[in-house]
Amino acid sequence: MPLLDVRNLRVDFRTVAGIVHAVDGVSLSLEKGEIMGIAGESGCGKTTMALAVPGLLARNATVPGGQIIFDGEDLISKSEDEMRTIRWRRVSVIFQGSMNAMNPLKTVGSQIVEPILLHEPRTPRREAEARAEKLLDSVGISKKRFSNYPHEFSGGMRQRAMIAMSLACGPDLVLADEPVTALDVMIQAQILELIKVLCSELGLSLIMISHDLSVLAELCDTLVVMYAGRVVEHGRSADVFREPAHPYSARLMNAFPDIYGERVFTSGIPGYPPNLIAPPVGCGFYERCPERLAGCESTRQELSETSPGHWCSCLYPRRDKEGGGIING
Amino acid sequence: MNARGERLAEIFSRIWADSFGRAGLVLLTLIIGISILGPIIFPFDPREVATSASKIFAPPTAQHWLGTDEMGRDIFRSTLAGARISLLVGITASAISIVIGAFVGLFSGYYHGLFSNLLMRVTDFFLALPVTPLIIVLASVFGQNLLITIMVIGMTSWPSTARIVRSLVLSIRARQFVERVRAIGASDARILCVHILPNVMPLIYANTVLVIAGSVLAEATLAFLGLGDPVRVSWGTMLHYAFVSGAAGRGVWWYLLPPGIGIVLLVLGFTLVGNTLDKILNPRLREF
Amino acid sequence: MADLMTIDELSVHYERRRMGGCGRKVRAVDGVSLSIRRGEILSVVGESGCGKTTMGKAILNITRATSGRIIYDGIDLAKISGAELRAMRRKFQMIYQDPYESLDPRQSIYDTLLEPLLIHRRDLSSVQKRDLVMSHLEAVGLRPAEMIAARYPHHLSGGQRQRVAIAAAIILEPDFIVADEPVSMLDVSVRSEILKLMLDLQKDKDLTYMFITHDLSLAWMISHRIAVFYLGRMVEIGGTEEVVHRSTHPYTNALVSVIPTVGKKMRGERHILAGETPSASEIPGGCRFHTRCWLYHDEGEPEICRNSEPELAEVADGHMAACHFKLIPSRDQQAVFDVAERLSKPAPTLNPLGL
Repeated sequence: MPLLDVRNLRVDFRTVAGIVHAVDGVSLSLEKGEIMGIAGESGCGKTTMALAVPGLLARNATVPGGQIIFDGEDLISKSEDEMRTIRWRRVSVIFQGSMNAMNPLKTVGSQIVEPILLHEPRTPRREAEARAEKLLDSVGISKKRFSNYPHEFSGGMRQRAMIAMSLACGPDLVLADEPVTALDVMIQAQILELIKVLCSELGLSLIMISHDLSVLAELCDTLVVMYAGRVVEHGRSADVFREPAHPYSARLMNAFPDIYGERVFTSGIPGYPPNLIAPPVGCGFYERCPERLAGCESTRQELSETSPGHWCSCLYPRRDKEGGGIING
Repeated sequence: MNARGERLAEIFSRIWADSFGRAGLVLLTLIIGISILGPIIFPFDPREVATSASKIFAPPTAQHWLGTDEMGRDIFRSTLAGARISLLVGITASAISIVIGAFVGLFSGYYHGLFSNLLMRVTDFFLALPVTPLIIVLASVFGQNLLITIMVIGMTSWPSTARIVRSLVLSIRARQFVERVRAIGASDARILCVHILPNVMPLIYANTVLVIAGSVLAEATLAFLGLGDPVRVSWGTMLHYAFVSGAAGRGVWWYLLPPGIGIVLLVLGFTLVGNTLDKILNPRLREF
Repeated sequence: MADLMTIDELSVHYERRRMGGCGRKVRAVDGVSLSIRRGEILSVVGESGCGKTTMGKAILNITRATSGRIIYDGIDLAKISGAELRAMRRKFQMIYQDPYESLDPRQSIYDTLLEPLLIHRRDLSSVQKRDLVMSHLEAVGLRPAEMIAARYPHHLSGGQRQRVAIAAAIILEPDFIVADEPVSMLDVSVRSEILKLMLDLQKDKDLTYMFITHDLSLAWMISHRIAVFYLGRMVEIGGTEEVVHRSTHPYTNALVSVIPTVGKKMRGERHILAGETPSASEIPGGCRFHTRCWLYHDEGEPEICRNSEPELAEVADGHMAACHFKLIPSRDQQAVFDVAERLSKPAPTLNPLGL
């Protein structure tokens, strides 16, 4: 049984302009110990989809359909009180802006102690503090900095502390929302390495969201590519990178220069994602797709298996067209 | 220009959409309308005094809608005339205050140097001074004259404007587009007039309306203390005469209420519109 | 190739005042010498705080340099008058990172583009100015120009705003453009369009770019030469392929090694540097990189690294590095990356991208 099984999830946002269908029928499943990457441009629904799992959506969001089955239980039908016991203890989040995600008036240490005491109120304070110190140590922060304030930390250290915080209650699943965006390359590499080590040591299951495919390539076992609120491709990381089946994934991958490859300049993906207030009838990528063919505009292709374990929602997956994996830039 | 007209219309409709703003607009339109039309329809002649004792402090009648004052003059008509003076002082004094405040704020915010530091120290000095006693002293030194009243209020109320304009200028100045136009080779004068001023204007507009409210109140205070122009009767002056003539002790409420309510409504109107305007034009300043 | 601009021992130091305490001297740029060739794209690569942006601004005279000379086309910029310098400004322009910050929100796109002309091209009639604005909007791909011109920045997307910023930078027909991370705020799909536009313009208008970026793989993609900065100093400079694939400085080597390789096997040893870049107000003595250097560690922490600051020295034609122990490509990289194969291809010429 997978640890997390999202089935046909839909999330809407009520806005002044109308109802935005931010997540429009997403299904995916995550095994215990798996590291999954979710990639896509801003506004593709990746963060919304992930934050729906611990029920951390904005107030104007509604979930009109779908199931989020976590460890055998549907989280959508749970009450706010029940969710509160699951949040952080079972599912925790590493947020993007680590400065905003911390209270500037409390020490870093006490902010790690807080969730421990909240979820295990019988823990003596000393013991919780000792655990927090150990957590800081495991993310590479000396316990001398336990009583420092967030502003005394550098960006990289804050992100480390954020990771320690997310691990405080020994969660089964960690959601990392752009954990290394806005950090320097060397610090990025450090943090990714840290996440990798922690995942293998603790047997964590992790969903990592990033607009930067190259970051996901480093770390993830499986890769999900989202576009316009839907999953367009899903498969083992190595397969997706080697032979992207959806034209969008292929172009997204091509947008990153590969210093060991040819120095060819790619054209990017001209155009803009569709308006999600009135999503297109057929393929969401139709407007921008250079490989579109007859039927793409009107047929909404569901995910189908193009090779074992590799799913794609293109009516004409690249494999059929070109005999696999050749990207025409 | 057309675009400007459209923007103005949009701002009005947005003030109207806010319930406080709408109340303020209604009040202001009412009072301004009264002050313009009132004295034309019901002209007030201060020389038209009572000929018999029964006409003094007479309660409201069909002839004198709001009764008469201690000299038998019609209070309804003098209230209408007083609105004009109160508004006139409020608006002109604010104009002076805003011009000085905006100039000082722009200049001291944009330039860093001896003169700008000096300006800011002067501003701080004025801010720290208790304004009301100062106005009283100045008004009593320079005499009771409408122009003097306007000047005194205008010259003492600018520092708060200067302060907020300066802080906004400081933050705009640090923004990248200012650096970019400087890199193009734009002169300081150009940066100030073309880039910084238009970005400060919304704040100045909203502030102006609020300063008018303050100026109306300041004028009323001065006039009530007997430092107003005795010839040009404002609502404050009316209150002064009512007080001096003992209207309060005699229960002549019809003498005290009209100017009193007038002042309250006028100040309220400007404050409501000013706050709404501030909310609309400077949304970011209210985030915290 | 002729040098367009020569920077000689440029330094930007300033005092950072802390509350209560006395100021500490920050050495943001610390003695950089560099020449920029006419028509090239020189990428300046480094992490935040390495002084790359400060140097770019000092070259354009937006930030005042503490010492050093900037010679543009044979003219020492420090020796000309303020008015001459202002007139000179049209020859150098800057493109900023954040297109949301670099445009005046209360200025229409038309006025934004007109402004440089109002300042520098008083000789043109208003019709000519209008034509120039429109043709430049078209040139950066903003069509229909008439419609875009009437808009305000908040009507446009990030990519469109960056196009406006580019149009405003090229409308005075400059020679030299400093582009400070011009695509790092944009979505991946928009990035390559903006880069392509910049490269097209470079070819059409004979521009020279200094491209400031933290992204070494991006620099590899677009530039002719790469200069790597660390803590206010240039540690390595050379042809793009040389710097990326035959890096000689251990810092460059580490930067190359952490570039994620999308879907491919890693080529060689990864050097994730421990810790963080020291503050520019507390630059370590000796070689400023030794506190984080993996090679210093490998070499058994030699004294020379702690005691003397290495100067840039040539390692190959046009390839210089500032390290006491220069990496020999065969030692570290040849084993993992077939340099011979790469070098057997024709050497990259100007505009190697075939645009």
